[in-house]
Amino acid sequence: MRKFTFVMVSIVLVASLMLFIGAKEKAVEEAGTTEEEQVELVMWWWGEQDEPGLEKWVKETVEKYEAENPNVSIKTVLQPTDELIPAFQAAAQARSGPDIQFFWAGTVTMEPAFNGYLAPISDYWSPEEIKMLAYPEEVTWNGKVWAVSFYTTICPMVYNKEIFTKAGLDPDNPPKTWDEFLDACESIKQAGYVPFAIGASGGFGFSWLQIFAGMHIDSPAELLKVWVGQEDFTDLKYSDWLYKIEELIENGYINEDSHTLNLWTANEEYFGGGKAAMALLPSGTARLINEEILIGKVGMMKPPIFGNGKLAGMNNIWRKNFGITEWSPHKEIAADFLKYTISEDRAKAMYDICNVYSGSKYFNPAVVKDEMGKMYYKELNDSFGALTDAFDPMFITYESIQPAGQNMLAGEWSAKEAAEFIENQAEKWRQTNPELVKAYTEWIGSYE
Amino acid sequence: MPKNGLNKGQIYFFLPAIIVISFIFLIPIINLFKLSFQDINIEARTTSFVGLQNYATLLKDNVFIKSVRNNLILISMVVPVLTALCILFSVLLFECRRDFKFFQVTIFLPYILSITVVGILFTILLQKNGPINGILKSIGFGFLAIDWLGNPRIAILTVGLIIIWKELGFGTTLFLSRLMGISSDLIAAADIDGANWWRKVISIYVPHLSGIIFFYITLTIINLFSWVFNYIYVITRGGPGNSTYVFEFFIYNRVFWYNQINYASSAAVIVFVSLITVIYFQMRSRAGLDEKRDIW
Amino acid sequence: MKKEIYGRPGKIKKIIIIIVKRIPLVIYTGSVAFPLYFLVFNSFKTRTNYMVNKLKLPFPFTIENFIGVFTKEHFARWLLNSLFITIVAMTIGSIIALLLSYGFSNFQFKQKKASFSFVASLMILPPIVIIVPLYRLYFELKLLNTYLGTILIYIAYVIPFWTYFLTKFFASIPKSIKESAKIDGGSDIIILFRLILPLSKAPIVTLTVASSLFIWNDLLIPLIFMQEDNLRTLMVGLTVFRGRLTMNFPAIFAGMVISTIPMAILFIYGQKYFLKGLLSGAIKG
Repeated sequence: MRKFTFVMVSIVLVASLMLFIGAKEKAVEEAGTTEEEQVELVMWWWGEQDEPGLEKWVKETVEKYEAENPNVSIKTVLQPTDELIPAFQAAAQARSGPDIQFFWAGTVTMEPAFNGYLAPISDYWSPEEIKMLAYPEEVTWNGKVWAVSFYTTICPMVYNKEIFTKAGLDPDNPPKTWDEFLDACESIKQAGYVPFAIGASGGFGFSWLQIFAGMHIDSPAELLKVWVGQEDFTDLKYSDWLYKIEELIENGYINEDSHTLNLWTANEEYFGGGKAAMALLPSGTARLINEEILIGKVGMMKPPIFGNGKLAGMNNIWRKNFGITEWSPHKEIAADFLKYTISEDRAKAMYDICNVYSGSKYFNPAVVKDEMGKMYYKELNDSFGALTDAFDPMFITYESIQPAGQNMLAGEWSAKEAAEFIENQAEKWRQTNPELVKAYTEWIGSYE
Repeated sequence: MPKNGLNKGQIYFFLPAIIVISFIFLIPIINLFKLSFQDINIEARTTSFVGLQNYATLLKDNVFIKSVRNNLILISMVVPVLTALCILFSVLLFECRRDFKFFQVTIFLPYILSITVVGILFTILLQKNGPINGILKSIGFGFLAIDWLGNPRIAILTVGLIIIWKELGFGTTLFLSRLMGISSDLIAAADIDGANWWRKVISIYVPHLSGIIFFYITLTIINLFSWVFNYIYVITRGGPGNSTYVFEFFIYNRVFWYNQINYASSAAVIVFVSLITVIYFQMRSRAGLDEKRDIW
Repeated sequence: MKKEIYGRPGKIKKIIIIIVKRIPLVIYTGSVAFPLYFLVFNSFKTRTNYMVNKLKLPFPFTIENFIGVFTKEHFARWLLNSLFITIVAMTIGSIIALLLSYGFSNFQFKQKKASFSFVASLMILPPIVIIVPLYRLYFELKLLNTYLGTILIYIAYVIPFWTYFLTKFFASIPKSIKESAKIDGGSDIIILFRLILPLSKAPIVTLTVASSLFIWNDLLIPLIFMQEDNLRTLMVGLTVFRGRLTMNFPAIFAGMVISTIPMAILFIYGQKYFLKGLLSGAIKG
């Protein structure tokens, strides 16, 4: 009898606990579709960290769309930088999660497509609508277009005009060739400033230095050939930029704590703090610093050239994308919403609210009225085909180039060791990802 | 009442535990082995049996080898230093009759802090131009103001130091509790014999503590293999470069960033099997040494 | 005796010894106090104030960070999640472990030693080893991003830890007490809860504090199994927090301070038993 009571009591206890847990779960669960036509889209995105103010644009866009389409409600989640990819990978594994997912440029968008996690936008848009995307070739594979452009970051090399003057350099004529650049760095160093500042802790910073990677290259297809094994990364054509960076490190032209600071900290402290002459800044940050901190002193320059490739001298640009997930139960509606995000009105709003250039061809350049904006927009177009880390497979970016770069900046590795490590890791990547290699090879086709 | 087996009523005491343990531990471990022998074909959405291929690639993977080596580096650095410090501090506390409570509490504080809090805090404090280096320079110890977390060669050692900082309190208290069991007559006798402090430590304290020292060393080794993910994730994320990868982080990274599930499973199996082997041999040798361990 | 013979010099020597013995303690205490001072005091500074001087006392003393942490982020939600998970997992886990320990210490059966070693050895299992296959299992069973799923994992980790220590403790309770209770007609359950439990206050409180600390402070499991922002635990939230507010250190510090308070309270409350439990040799290793 006692045993029975005990068993009953424990069952009741456990059951009530489960109920409690279950009740809590229900309270958290997304408001699923309760009525017939009520649709909820979930969008995981990123960008406020790069371009302050973008969140406001997103909120406004969502509100306006919801007003026009009362049966649709869109839940947006701004992901932390470090969690964006793991969260998406986990969602992909579980085949549930967001309907719309943000991706950084190039391979970060394409690898999920290669892995079958995305639904191609070309299945839902007409060819005319596809033409309104800024650069559909970049996200075309196997004849389909896989993503919708969100915004384009232009992240040029900037310089502090005041420091240039103090170092005896012409503030309106930044160095154009590599040798001129080295001379300028020496003068700046003599004047007591840091010539070039970067922050590579946490990884991204070194990838930004790939601004120097395209000097001997004519098209991204050439770099992709390295990754699929048709070329060797240690070939100077592809790795010269590492040696050039090594030159900068050895001469003391880069801030010596570059490998311990994260990108945004380094930019704020060194460039924003007036201690460094040159840096890489997204145009939005450059404008902010130009307007509020180093008023009128920020100039834009192209990376100094040391090669004859068509892609030499281009500044970093990244076309960030939105993709529709393969498991979304509302793909048509998602596609419709994304169509709205690149409408002319929204493209204009993106510039008005936060000075960010929409990735839409509907974007009317006449909207850009101020000098700074025009300058950056022109540079964006000039650097249109720029070779950036958008063309490195994700594993290579995060596990090969970035760690190798950190070791270089810390003074532990030479450029040669870094290049060898990267080629070695590329070989490993090819061995463990044969299907991806196949997909990349197919992708090269859209660039040739 | 059967002597060799359990009667029906008694099974209930074991049942809930059996259910939970099978579900969370047994089933996954079996699956782990299974996964390690497979590979996924993305296009065909099938899994195929590839035998030992994952293992072969793994053993040539520099990053995996570096990860395991880092765990070993941590163990060989932290275990001796931490144990020695715990002995030292517990002895000092034991002999500080009056204010031992104050020190006791402050020494224990880091144990309550979460690794996350400790990690974030020290990431900021140990910056190359951060507060700690600033203070070191201002008191004339500038040569110690090194690049704690930025130098790929010493970053893992710095993590080891942080671990020691955090774990000291627990071990010290553990040892202290044992020391309190020493009869005061024994100590008085030693004092009368004119034994100096060091002799007391060696001849009385340490032998008395030997059992718990052994236990503590085992515990610490286990911790440094199985429970350092938090430190790495919060403090270095494997950097600078990949100099602070530990095997837990390697697996996490390969699975949750690149979906290399089978590959990571093989890594997990290797470490798991090694751990079991080590623990097994250790338990065998301990059973021989100390029969008082038996509890019934 | 030395004191009598040598008079004053002996006294000085004694004082020196006392001081020398305290030096390592003081150094370590300093190394504990400084980071805590840094953490707590800077959480009361404004962001710009902190940039200006990181070490000075917070002069414009502000609690805006503490308020901001709750209003601008999901901190309150994260806090509740951690509390909920810790409390439920602790409760259920400890009950199961109590039953198990009683079973091991009082019943006889053939594979007792082997199974006890097995359960105890589960403590060494690195969680990452089971996380990968467990993740897939949970995905199949739709247990991802659920409280139930995460709590189950913690229960599974609490059990071996408690069982290892409690079994030894229970076994050390004199058989005579149990015998007499049995003679009085008590069933095992009654003996466990009415008799053994009250006797085990010290180790139980110790284990509760240790396990609660473990669950509360854990990062890996909720990082993987509770990824939805609404479900995040406090520690995971802190790392997200740090990523989002990269330059606003005082705000991050405020979050860190808040996340430490519950465990500090638990520790102070259980300190009497906890330290007593440790110091009384309840943990015999």
